[in-house]
Amino acid sequence: MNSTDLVLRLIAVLDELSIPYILVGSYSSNLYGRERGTKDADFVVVIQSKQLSEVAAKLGRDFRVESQTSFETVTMTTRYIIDHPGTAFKFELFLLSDDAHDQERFRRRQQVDFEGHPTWLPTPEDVVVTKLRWSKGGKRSKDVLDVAQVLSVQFGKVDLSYIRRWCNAHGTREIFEQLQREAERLNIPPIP
Amino acid sequence: MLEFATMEPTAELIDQLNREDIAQARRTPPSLKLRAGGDQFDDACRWIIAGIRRENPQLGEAGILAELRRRLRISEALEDRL
Repeated sequence: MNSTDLVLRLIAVLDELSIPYILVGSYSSNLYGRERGTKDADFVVVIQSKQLSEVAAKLGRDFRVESQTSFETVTMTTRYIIDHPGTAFKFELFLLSDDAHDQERFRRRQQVDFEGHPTWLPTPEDVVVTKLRWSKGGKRSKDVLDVAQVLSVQFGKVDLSYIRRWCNAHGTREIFEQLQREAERLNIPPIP
Repeated sequence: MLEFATMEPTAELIDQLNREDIAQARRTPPSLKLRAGGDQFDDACRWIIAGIRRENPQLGEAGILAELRRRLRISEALEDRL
């Protein structure tokens, strides 16, 4: 079973249990930017703790839910890790937090076809806002590069005022403007 | 004696390559872009496993997988620091 099969299997289980989710992290930046390899798939989910065992049961014995939960450091939300012991691939499930941007990103989610399966993803604007926030002021080069690529590929198509509003709130405006200037410099006409 | 000039990447060449990558990314269907991350990871794992097997012919499948996971943890720690 390859990584894509694993991701599609979890999405099918979430849909079957009517658990609202968005596929975030590098899967979302790969969609709007340029692709890079990733060892995990990150989801934001609206889930009750008892539903986690239902997810585990539906996924079956090929998967293992790590018993210890941890906390994500930006919004302090709970994180569950689901491991696939047969490979090195894993899932990280973050509970939807009360954070204002987390809530708005979830409201604005959109469906995209993934191998014939409608899959919920954040908008490109929300990928930019979140990754800049996670980049620790531009120190995490991986996140900065992801944002630079989303801004270049989506140039002329994203709602800049929305991004600027959240970057102001998160203190990431300066790094955003720097990356946007670079996207503008590289600009080639977008596909209509 | 023959002398060879090395081709230094110029700023213009780097920009041109980046523009080609952007154009390619815009042409790629969403479904392919969504599966690319996992596919690239699977390919990378295959190469790492081949290396582990060559360096450690005594290791069984469980040992190889454990070593793969150890190397990925190292790479993850390095990524967080960069």
